[in-house]
Amino acid sequence: MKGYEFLDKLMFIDDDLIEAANEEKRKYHFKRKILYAFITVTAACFFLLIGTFSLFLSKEKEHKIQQWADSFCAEDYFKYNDIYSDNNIDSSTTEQKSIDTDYPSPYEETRFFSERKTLEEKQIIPIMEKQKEFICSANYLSDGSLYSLIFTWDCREDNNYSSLSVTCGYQEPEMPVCDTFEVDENGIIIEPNTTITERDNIQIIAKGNKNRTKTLTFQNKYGFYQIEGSWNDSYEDMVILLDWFWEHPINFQYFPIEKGDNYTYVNFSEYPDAFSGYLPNIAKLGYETEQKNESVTLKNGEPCSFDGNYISPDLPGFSFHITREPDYYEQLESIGDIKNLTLKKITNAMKEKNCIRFTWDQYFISIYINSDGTPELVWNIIKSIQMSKNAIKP
Amino acid sequence: MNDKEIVELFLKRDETALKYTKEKFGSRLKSLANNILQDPDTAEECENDTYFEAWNQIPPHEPRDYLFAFLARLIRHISLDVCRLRSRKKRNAFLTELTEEIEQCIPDPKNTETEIDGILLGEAISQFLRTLSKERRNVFLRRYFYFDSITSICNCFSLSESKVKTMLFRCRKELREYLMKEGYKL
Repeated sequence: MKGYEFLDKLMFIDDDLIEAANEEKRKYHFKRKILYAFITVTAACFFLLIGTFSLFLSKEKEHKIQQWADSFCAEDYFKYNDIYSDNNIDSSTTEQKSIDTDYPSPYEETRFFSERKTLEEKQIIPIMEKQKEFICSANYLSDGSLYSLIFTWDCREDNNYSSLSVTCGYQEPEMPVCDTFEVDENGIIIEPNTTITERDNIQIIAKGNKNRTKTLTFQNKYGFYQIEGSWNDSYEDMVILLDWFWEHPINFQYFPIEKGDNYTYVNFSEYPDAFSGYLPNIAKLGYETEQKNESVTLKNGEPCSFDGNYISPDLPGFSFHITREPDYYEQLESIGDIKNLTLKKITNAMKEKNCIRFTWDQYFISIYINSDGTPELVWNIIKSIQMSKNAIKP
Repeated sequence: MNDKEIVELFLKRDETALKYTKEKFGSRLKSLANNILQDPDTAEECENDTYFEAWNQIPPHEPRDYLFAFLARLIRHISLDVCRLRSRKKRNAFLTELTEEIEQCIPDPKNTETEIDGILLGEAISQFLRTLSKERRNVFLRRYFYFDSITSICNCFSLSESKVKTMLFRCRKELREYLMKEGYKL
């Protein structure tokens, strides 16, 4: 099956999921009534009560709180979580489900802190060599005070996928992480095992297991911390982060709202001079100026990237993206600087995919072209940008 | 007018059903078609075709609870068909971009012979999506069902571009693993 057919077959997804995604767009910033919060909290408490009661009743699940020791290894934190080996449950007969907690968003603003090196040098975050992508986002309440801080480290290499995150704050965020549980072939909930370890009089709760999303959660006098790892992240990597933040509690004062970067998205018509000299001359290339879709991303009010989609009845359509902040993994696909581009390089790159990425001055540019687009057309697009740049030089 | 009332008008063969449908859902449906076609005029034609198709399909269908999802499915399919019919080669760049992304979900994209039942596949994907958090699920659907741009998704969910791209990358990989585990050879 090809990608096009797969995209088409997504029409058979359940109705409620389609509706929910539509609703999300309409009311993502809509503040829910307290009644919803009350119902959600009540439902969450109900599930927690059932879970806790079952834990006490079930002798199989009567795991004591274990004490941490110097000799602890990563697996020890998840000692009782490998339910398949414990209960001989065949993973092929189980099914994962999730509880949706339809919680109102408790925070007002989000800001981003991107200086990874600075954060590492100040020993606020550990150095994570394998994960090349890093995001630090902070959520703030209406009075500007910090609600939660999230660090995410990602690796998007095919055989080396990783996604580790740490969510922290002064107290546990009200918006709970979506909880996942297993059901067996008869639809009966399989009690999710947790392991609780007491370390320095603080309880560390481990959920999840190998080949599943997993978390380690604790709360000390400095704040609440939850470390989350993907199905492909090891217990060892989780514990590296745990140990780091155990020894280096976050100084939340370092993340005031005014120091974070604010991203907003506007129509290009509001910033017509953005990236002047670095955009293709659409009219000269023969594309219709009326039928285009152009937007600008602002970082603290200044343009930091541009997106344009262009069509023509006579020419293959293309998308043009220029940014000051390229993704690490996109940069790996770059075919070089514009000064060194040749038709041959473009032709070779387009044998793999209909996308060309390259650098130009301080920018990173990506051009997606229709499947009937030719390397010559891409070359013409690039030439038209260079001519525009030369035209505006004094 | 709520969805149930509009569906009742369809069932009674009352043509005002089309008027109310257009009023309530027209702009969103057209936006979805435009995301696929990148052509407002053709998107409008697809919107009108969708109302015609809905008239033919209600009854026997009675989407009282999910009328928008029903219509969205129709216009999506109609728009993709238009893309296909125009010319196999003239697929717009945005769709090419999405096609290349979604191919990462397919366990065996080189296998062009296997026919797979769309409904079964849809069920499997739905099951997978239910294992995700709401945010990730909606980001995935906004991108691959509604064909939103990355920028639009960033705007809607207050996320950075990098976060959205990583989120989508993770979902694609996890869906691929899920389909392989379920024994789908696509």
